[in-house]
Amino acid sequence: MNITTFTITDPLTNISVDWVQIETAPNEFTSMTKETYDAQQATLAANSAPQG
Amino acid sequence: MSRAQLTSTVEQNTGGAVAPFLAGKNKVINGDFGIWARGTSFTPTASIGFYTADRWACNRDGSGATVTVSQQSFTPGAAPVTGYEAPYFFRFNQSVAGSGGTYNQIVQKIENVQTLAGQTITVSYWMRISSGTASIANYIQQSFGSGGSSDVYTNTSSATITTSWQRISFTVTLPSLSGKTIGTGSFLGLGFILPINIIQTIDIWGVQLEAGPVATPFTTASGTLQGELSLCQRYYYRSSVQRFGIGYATSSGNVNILVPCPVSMRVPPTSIDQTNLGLYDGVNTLSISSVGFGYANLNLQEIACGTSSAVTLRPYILYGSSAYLGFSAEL
Repeated sequence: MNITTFTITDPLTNISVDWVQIETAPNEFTSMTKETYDAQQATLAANSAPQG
Repeated sequence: MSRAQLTSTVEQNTGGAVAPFLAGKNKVINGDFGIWARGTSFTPTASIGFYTADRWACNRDGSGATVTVSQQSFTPGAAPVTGYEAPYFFRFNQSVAGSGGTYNQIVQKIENVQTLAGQTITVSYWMRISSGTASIANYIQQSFGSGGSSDVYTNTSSATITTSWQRISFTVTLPSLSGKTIGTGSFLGLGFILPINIIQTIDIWGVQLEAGPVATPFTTASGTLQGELSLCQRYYYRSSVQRFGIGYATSSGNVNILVPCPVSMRVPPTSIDQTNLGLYDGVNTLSISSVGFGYANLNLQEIACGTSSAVTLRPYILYGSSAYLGFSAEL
């Protein structure tokens, strides 16, 4: 899975946010903030699936 | 007394054992699997929250398994409910068993843990398996959101499914919320617990979660095609219209594009998925290297497109002949 990172800066506020872009399939991409991505990875690492 | 009041009174007095096709009775969105904005065939990876049909996700772990989720069409006249001719059903196909799996689930998260809390509810659905039999159970998850109390689970006994469509239902009383702390993003989760580490093809249709001790006739959450689509778009919206929005270059390396949403999303979307997007200024086309939100909102998204050689302040169209652009505000 190809993962790239980039930064988006809001020209109105000049606030910068780090993003992650994942190539989920050939030429298909999902992007989210690095904060969201890290939280998802932490959930996976904890193997915290719903009870079943 | 209005007809709605009369129906409601009758329903309460009979524990819901009437046949009201009322919008809002079913808390499950896309329970008839009529909306497939993300596509019609998927290969869910071993992960949590892999979305397939709208509102429906797979959770699974282990290694080596090959799983495909797909939209299947009913043969006209063969739908499991007489008088309800649905177009599609949901198929979960595990063609390679794999190993090491400890959970294999299909789930829907219903917004707000307050949903039917403390009440008796009935969950019903039609299900079948391609060969033999299988034991299927369900769970209800009361998740109190970020900063909230720990999850509370209500599990059901298992049911045996066969190669024929059959309606399965169970009735439970959800715990009350007394003493609980509710954070942001709370939900009521409905999970199907599928067998693990085996080859199987399981079909599902007509999922309903309603108040009361009786499984009443199935209806979708909204009762209409447009209503169901709009309910789904609160959580995920995908456009494939080839022209997505207009905007301007903030620098040679970035173009901001405004893209409207057809309905208000649950929260400002937190992720974007896309393919084959490009930028066009009326003469020249530019390729896009990255896409994120410049500013995410409920109704209008500002998409920041990473590129090169854009002309600052020049207007651009976000386009793509085989492109799509999707926003997710899922729980």
